[in-house]
This record gives sequence, structure tokens and C-alpha cells, in this order.
Amino acid sequence: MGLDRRAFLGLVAGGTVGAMFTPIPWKLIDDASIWTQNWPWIPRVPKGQVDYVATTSKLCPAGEGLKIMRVAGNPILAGGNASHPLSCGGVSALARSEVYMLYSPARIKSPMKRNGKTFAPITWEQALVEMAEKLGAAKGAVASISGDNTGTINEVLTALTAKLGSAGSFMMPSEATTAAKAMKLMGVQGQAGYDFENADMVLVLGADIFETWGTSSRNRKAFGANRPAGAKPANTYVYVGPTRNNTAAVCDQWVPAAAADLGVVALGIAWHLLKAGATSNAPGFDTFKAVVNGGFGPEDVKRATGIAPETLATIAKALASAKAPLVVTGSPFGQGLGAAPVIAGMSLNMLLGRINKPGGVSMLPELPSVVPGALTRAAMLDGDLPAFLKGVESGKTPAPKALLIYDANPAYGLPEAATMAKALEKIPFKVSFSSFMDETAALCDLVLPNSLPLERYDDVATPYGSGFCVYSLVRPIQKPICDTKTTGDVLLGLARKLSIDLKFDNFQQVIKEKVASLTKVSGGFVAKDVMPWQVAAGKPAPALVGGDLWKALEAGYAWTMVGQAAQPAMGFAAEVLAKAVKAGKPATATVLAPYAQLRTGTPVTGMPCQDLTMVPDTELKGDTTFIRVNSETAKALSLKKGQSVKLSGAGVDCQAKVHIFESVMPGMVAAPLGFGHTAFDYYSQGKGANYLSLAAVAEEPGSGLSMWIAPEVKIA
Amino acid sequence: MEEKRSNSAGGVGGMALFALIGFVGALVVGWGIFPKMLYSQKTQPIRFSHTVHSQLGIECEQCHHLGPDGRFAGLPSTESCAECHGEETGDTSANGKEIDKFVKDYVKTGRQVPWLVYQYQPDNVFFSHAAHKGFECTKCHLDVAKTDTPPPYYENRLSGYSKDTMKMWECERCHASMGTSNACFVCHK
Amino acid sequence: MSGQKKEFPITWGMVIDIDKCTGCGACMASCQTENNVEPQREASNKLRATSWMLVYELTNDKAFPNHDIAYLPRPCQQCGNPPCVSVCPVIATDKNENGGIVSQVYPRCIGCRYCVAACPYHVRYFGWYDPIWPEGMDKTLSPMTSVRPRGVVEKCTFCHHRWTQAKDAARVAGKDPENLDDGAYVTSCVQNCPSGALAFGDIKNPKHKVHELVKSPYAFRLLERLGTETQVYYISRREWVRKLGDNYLKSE
Repeated sequence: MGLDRRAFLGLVAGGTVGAMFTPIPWKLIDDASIWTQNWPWIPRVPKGQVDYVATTSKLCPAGEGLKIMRVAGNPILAGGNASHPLSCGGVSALARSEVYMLYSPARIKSPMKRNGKTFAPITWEQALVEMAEKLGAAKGAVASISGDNTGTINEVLTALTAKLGSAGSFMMPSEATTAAKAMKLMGVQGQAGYDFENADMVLVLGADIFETWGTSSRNRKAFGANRPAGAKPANTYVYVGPTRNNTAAVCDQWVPAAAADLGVVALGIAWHLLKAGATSNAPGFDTFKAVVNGGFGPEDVKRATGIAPETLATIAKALASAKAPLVVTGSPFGQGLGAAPVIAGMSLNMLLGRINKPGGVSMLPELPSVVPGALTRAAMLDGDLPAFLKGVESGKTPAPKALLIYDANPAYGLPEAATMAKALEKIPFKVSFSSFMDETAALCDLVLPNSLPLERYDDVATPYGSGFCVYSLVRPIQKPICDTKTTGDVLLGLARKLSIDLKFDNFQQVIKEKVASLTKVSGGFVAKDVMPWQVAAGKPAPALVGGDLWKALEAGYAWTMVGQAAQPAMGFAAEVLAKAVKAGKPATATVLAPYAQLRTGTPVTGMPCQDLTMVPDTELKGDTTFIRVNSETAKALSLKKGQSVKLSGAGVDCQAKVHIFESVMPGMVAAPLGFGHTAFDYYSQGKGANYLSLAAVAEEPGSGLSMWIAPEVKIA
Repeated sequence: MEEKRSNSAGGVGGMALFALIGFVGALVVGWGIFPKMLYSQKTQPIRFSHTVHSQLGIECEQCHHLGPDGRFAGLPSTESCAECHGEETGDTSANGKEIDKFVKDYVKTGRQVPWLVYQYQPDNVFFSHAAHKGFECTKCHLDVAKTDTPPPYYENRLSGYSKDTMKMWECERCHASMGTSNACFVCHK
Repeated sequence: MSGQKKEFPITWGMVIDIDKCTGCGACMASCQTENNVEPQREASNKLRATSWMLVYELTNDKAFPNHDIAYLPRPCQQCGNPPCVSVCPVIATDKNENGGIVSQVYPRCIGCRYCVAACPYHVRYFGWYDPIWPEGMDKTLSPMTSVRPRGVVEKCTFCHHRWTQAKDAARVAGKDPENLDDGAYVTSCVQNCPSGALAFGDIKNPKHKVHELVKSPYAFRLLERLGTETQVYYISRREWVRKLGDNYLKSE
């Protein structure tokens, strides 16, 4: 009996029926369907024990305390730290990105040396030898730029620069540089601190306090805390500026005014206050009064700014009748403002008697410095980087032989980008300590990547805008992912190589010493159960238990201190106002009104990768960014919605498309900053245009400060 | 014609016989060989002896505990193990060698041991140990507490999951019998 | 459509104070990293980009200087009577659990996109691309949410995983997991909003802040007249903002 056709069919049939009584078909179908759920190219989520550690955001200028969630020791998520006074649980889109940024494609993976037009990786030892040799040869003409407003690293950087023979140690221009200049002209020391938490009426002149100005996360928490949902707000916010920006969008009132006219508006309000009898015994009051009454009456202001007299009269009245009014002045895009508008705004605080009062302004003292030979923050802020670089470009200032660039991207983040790039070209040896391949690093001879904040020790000391002195710790919670080093350690190692004594062997020692020095500052305390604004409002400050300070900082609490430095009375600096603030005729040219947002990062971070989703398609579509004009301006300039245009200014052209947006003043062109990178990664590169490059730098009369608050542009 | 018919008749009988052979063969393959083929056998990276540790008086909860936030700690990290096994012993016994292997490969390199977990669920499943703490662990887990050598781990060649990973119908059946909700988001994420 | 509102003893609800939202996008950033939404290179193509939480810009459509704007963050509205659930042919999405969160089970979804079409709030996103993280960045994925392959629909889940964790924490602390304290369970966007514009809690629990907030005369829901009975409430003292919450005739 052979296996004939029928037998074979029988075998198959039997086998098939039999298989139905086994797991084969059912299990295979089930497993195959599971197999399709787990393609190998779809990443699996990590498994492991979950814990939380505290640190502080260093990438975000608002300096929020962070709680980092880790899985099996790896950082996963950065959230706000509810017990940190600059976060209160909130976190900006930028600070939230700190974890993702560890793996940003723009990260520099090892030290690199320029080799013609490209870079070649080198070892840290080679880099140090190279740098020591070049800096040794450049002695007497070494300059440095720092973009870090709050770190003790500046002490190491400036002390080293000084020992090498300084040609200048500069801070990147920001709100802090402008305010420091204004305070100096008004004859006081310290950093202006604004107590939003205790203020009940806040007049915001230009400053984008809820986005880019100072401690923006904390500012928003303070704003929101007194505004219970659906109920009558317990505070009033009035915004004066060229666009209804993110700050103005939530303020009770928006008063449209050109950024160039902020000083005029302030003095216009001063006129009403003076008329109502406001007085002051501060130095220069009589001159101030004469200046205000001489040219800032309601009609003068109306002619210059277009603001109706009753608008300012109402604001002045509201300020005068508020329990705790506060005036804060700044640039709508975080830089480029002259000192005079800040002085004008501050004089309103003086007329209202708001200096060193709860809900007012305090001159916060600098924290003690620990590195011998370091510049103070005030001295660093006194430098004028755009003026210096312009001088270098034109040949008026001798170019330094070497330049150290820390946490700064001057080739992108300064106005008049073309001029600044030319100036940088004139400097023969440049070192960048950037963590990311930014526009400036791409120009440098040596790139020595700094470890990211989640990989290094660092600190945040009293960011500009904070109403109280505050110090919090940045600590490594992850081993460096790439071959990077903490720049503080690199600089100290370099000093050793050059036989320069900076007292410390590594940067952690510097931070430890800084923390130790805080225990000696009287009035300091750790904000735990009592927050600094409660102390400002009269609650007794808890005592500081010295030995535990480091531990408390590691646990994510902040050291804080309330109150201002003892000093001479603040003066009105009326002579500066007389020269710099003019209620002239309104500008007839088209004026650029840039605006910046934390979601597009800073010049140092580039566009945080997951933040690109947050940018609306009325700001960036494809690779083109949009400018915003209102329909009146569009008509006057014959612009249509979606039209492609070319903007020109300061010898630079930028492409844009037109978006019609009515909350922009007539004659103004609002333009987003943070786009148009030529370096970084595919999340930043080639996305739109850098409109800051259109801004020409001018010198402010009276203060001599570089300013670029209202750049004129041509649209074609 | 006749021959043909008889052939045909014998063919029917043969067909039935072969059908039976096919049926039985399929059962043998399906129940005997197929399961062995479907799974690959793997051994744990380190031969961890639960008996040795429990004889030392270490409670199960010391390593497998619920955290204060309600999260189940799962398996201890290399760091926790290194609290006792921080240095190589040089001991040449089987256990000593295994300890030294652990110290050399994981403690010194700072890596986590890639333990093969018999019950790991897919990424889209959330299992709450806190909600099930009234049950005996062995209701779902292999009883490894008394093993000197961890049992072999069977990995499904097709789906990649452990043979012992509980299937959704098992979860649902128990939930239904306990009167607990079987809504999607009770378990899925 | 079944046309029936589903009631549960717990009703998780979000209350968003539009008057406090500055439009900064921190909620979107919080959401994306919490829920493993990959960083999208071509994110300016809004037809293809995924954002479970999305901030809309509202305008009163007037010319300068009477123009006004507001920002409206939009998570999944967790409808009491969800239009997406009734159209799903494979029960990949359902509203069947206490708390009232509309579930979405990715491995079950067949990607037909009926729900995307049915949702009046555009909260549902189809994965057009496989999720790709830059090299190494997948180490930062959150273990609390699974990663979706392309071809399935996803949406905001009110960070449901945070609820399961809050319940576990309550169990370990010996508290009732079905009666959580106010704030024990909040979503990632609510927790991280720097303005404090978002509130979250059990609308039916008088001990929770949102219980009172939803009764505010300024509170409204989106497209209320569709009868979707959403669990997300908005608050604005500006009438024009409230009017944008639904389609009104000129005469209304």
C-alpha cells in the first residue's frame, strides 16, 4: 500500500484537522499579532527604579529649580520644583527641555581644533597644551565674553583673563546690563530686584516679564497667585509696548507705545504724579521736575506717542492710589534698551516711594566673591560688548590677540551680526566652551565643549529681576555623555599649566567655597516653609543652620536673602533723562519690533528639539518665518497676507512672509527672534531668518550705552 | 472495473489510515515539538541563588519592596547588591566564582544586570503591585524563592516575550471573577 | 450615537483659566516629554505634527486698537458622551472607567481614523511617521507611557498613568485610592504651567478646587450645544472669549 494521491490527501486532511486540536495555529496567530506590535525600530521604554533628584535650570535664564525624574539612574523628565522660589512648581518650555538636550544632535562630542574650514577632534591634553601656548603668547591682550549672568564660573573666567592681561571681560548684553548701567547712573549699587509677589498694581514698560524678562517663571507664578480663576483679580497689570505680546495678552490693559518711547511714557506718567503732588527728597529731584514739566506734558506725550492724555492720567491715578504699586522697565525682546528708559521707570518708583518697600524695588547686594582677582558682577555688567566689538571692527579699538567665549553666541545673539562677525574675524585666536555647535563655535580655533548642566556642578546666583537674593545649586546627576568637561575645571587646569594661582584645583571646590561664604552673609536663610516674599512682607526670616546648607541646596532648596544693600540715596539722574528722552515727532519709517520667546531657546541652546512643535504656523512654516503687521500697516506698505518679503537693515537682508496680526502698533513690524540659525542641528538650522541681524547699534546720548531698541527696516 | 473499485475501496481505507496518521502526527508535533521550537531557552546572566540569600535571613521585601510612592521596586539595582558584594572574593567555589563574575562585570563597570524577568509585560501595560498586594506572589510569579539556580527563561521566538508573561485573558478572567473593572485604562498605558 | 452621557462616581476634570494663559507653550513641552511624543523635525506642518496638548490663539477679530487676543490650551476634552467612541469599529477607544477618561489602546487601533473625523475638538492625532528620536535620546523616554508606532491614533489621556500612580501611593499610605486628596493626581501640563492657569481634580468631589471652579459664571465648555458634555472647562472674564466657545448666530 503506497502513498497514493488519496492517501496523501488523507494525510494532509488528518494533519490539518489534528493541527486544529493543537496550539499551533492559534498560538502562531496570537504571537504573530504580538510580533507586529513591536517593530525593532520602535524604541522600548526604559525599565528600572524611579527616583527624583533636584537641581536648577541653567539653560533657562529664569533659573527655575528643577525636579528631575530618573529611571535606573538616567534622567528622564525635568519638572518644576514646587519648593524652589523661582519655580514654585512651574517650568518654562526651555527648562523642560534640559533632559532631551543631553542628546541634542547639535552637541559637540569632544574637544576640537580648527583644521582649515573643518574641525578635527583632539584630546583634552592636546587642547590644554595648545591653549596654554597660544594664551601665553597673547598675554596682555586676552578678552573674554560670558553669556552666563548668574554663575560663579564668571569669577574663574575673569580672574584668569585678568591674570593673563585683560583686554576686557564682557557679559553678553541683556536686561541686566541695561539695568546695571541705569543703577550706576542713579548712584546706587546692587541689582534692581522687583517684588511682584507683594505688588498690587504693576506697570510694565516694555519688559516681556512673563516670557523673557528676568525670572519669568516666578513672575508668572506671582502674577497668577493673586488672580484666582474666575474671580476679581487682586492685582492689576498694565503693559506698555509695541505689540500685545505674551505678557500683554494677560495684562488688564495694553497701552500701545513704540519701544523707543518707553522713557517718554514714563515721564508722561511722572508729569501726572508730580501734578498730583508727588515729591521726593532724593538727589536731583528739582532738575527731574524741571525736565518732566519742561517737555512731557500730556500734549507733548500725545504728539510723540499717540497716547491719549486721559490714558496716562488714569494709569498715574491708579498707581498713586494703589497700596503697593510697582513699575518695571525693560526691552520687549530682552536686550537693546537704553539706560534712560530704565531710569525714567525707576523714577516713577521713587515718586511713588517704592524703593526698598514690600512690593517695591530693592537694590540687591552681590553675593561675596571667592576667587581672588575676579571681577564683580557689577564690573562685568559695566562693559559694553557691542561697542567694544564695533570698535574692533572699525579699528578704533585694538583687537585682542585671544578671546575666550563662555556660554555665549555673539556671532548670532548680537545686533548688527555682519559687523560683529567681522570683528570676531579680526581676533586671531578664539576659544569656545560651548556645549553645542553654535554659530560662534563654528568660527573658533578651539572648541572645548562644556558638560551640560545635568552633567556638571554650577550655580545660579540671583538672576536679574528676582525680588530677593537667591542662590541655588546645579549638580551633576548624570556622567558626561560625550567627551566633555566642566569649563570651570578646564580653566583651572589651564591656570595651573600657565603657573597662575587661582586658589582652587577644581570647580566643585569653588562652588563649595561659594556656598560656605553664604553662611556668613547675615539675614540669609533657606527658603523651605517661609518664602522670601513672605519675609519681605514682614514675616520673620528663619535662622540659617550653617552646616546643612550644602545638603539643603542639594535637596533643591534655595538660599535666599531679603532686603537691600546699605547705600547712599538713589538719585534721579535727570541730566541723563534730559539728554536721552525726547518727546519728539513720531517716527515715520517702518520700525522693527522684535519679540523673543523661551520656546525658541536662547542663542546658546538653539531651538530645543521638541519645542519646534510649539511654534505656530503663523510664526514658522516650512523654512520661512513670518513677520506680523496690522492691516493698517499692511495697507500702507501694500503687503498682503502670506506675501514673501525682504527686510533690510544694518546692511543685512532677511526673508519673511507676512502675517496680518492686529495687535501690533501701526508702522511696526513685529518679528520673532530665535530663528535663522546657520549652525546647530536640523531642528534649528535654516529655520527662518535671524531678524536681530537687521538691528543697527546706536549710542544712547547721556549714558553712552549701546542700544538697538527700535531699529528701522525697509520692506520690499 | 472491479479491480479499480477494490483499489478504490482499499484507497478509502488507506486514506482513513493516513488521515489518522496525519491527525496523530499533528497532535504530536503540535503538543510535543512545536512548543519546544517556539521558545528559545536562556539562562540568567548571573546565577543568583535565592536559597543562599534567604538562609542568611534576608527577607524577600528587602529587595522586592513597594516604595513609599506606591511603586514596586522590582529587582534591586547593582548598587544595592554591591552593598554586600562590592569586592571580588577570590573564592574558587562555584558560588564564589559567580559572585566575582557579578562584581567584575557589573559592579566595577557600573552597569545594571540585564536580568531576564519571567513576567515582564509589554510597554503598554501598567501593573500595580500595590493593588495586588493581597495576593500571594506565586499566584503570578514563578516560585523562585527556593531555587539555588534560577529556572531557565523561555523566550517566545516570535513575540519576544517570556513564556511566563501573563496573557490579557488571564488578567481579565481574574478581574471579572473578583468584580474588578476590566476597562482598558485600568491596565493599559 | 448612543446619545447618553456616561456618569461615573469620579469625574476628572480640568479647568483652564484663559485669562492667565500667556501662550508660552510650557504645557505642550511638558506633555510631549511626559507622553513620549517624539521631537518632530517638520513640526511646522501642522497637518502631520502631533501635539496632544495644543495652544490655540483666539482673537476678537477687531482691528487695531480694539483687537484682543487670548490663548486656549486644548487637551482631550474627555467628553461625557464621546463622539469618537461610538465610531470606533474595534473598541480601541472607550469611555468605560471610573474617572471618565476616554481611553485609547494603541495596539488595538487599526488606524481607520474614524475617530479623528468624529472628534469635534481635533484632539486626535494619526501617526503619519514612525517615531524617531535623535541618537541616544530614546534613553530619556518615559517608562510611564508606551511608544506608538506609525499608523495608529493617539490623544491626550489626562496623564492617566499619573492617576494609577497616585492610587498606588494612596494604597501604600493606607488611604482610599478612590478618594484622592486634591492635587494628589494632576496632569503634567497642570503641574508645570508657570502661570498656574490650569487646575485639575475630581469635579464631583467637593473637597477638590475644581468642584467650585466649574460653577463659576465665567466658566464654559467648548461646543456645549453638541451635547458632548466635556470634562474640560474654560474660564474667562472676557465675554468675547466665552462666545468663541461655541458657534453662535449673530442674533444670539
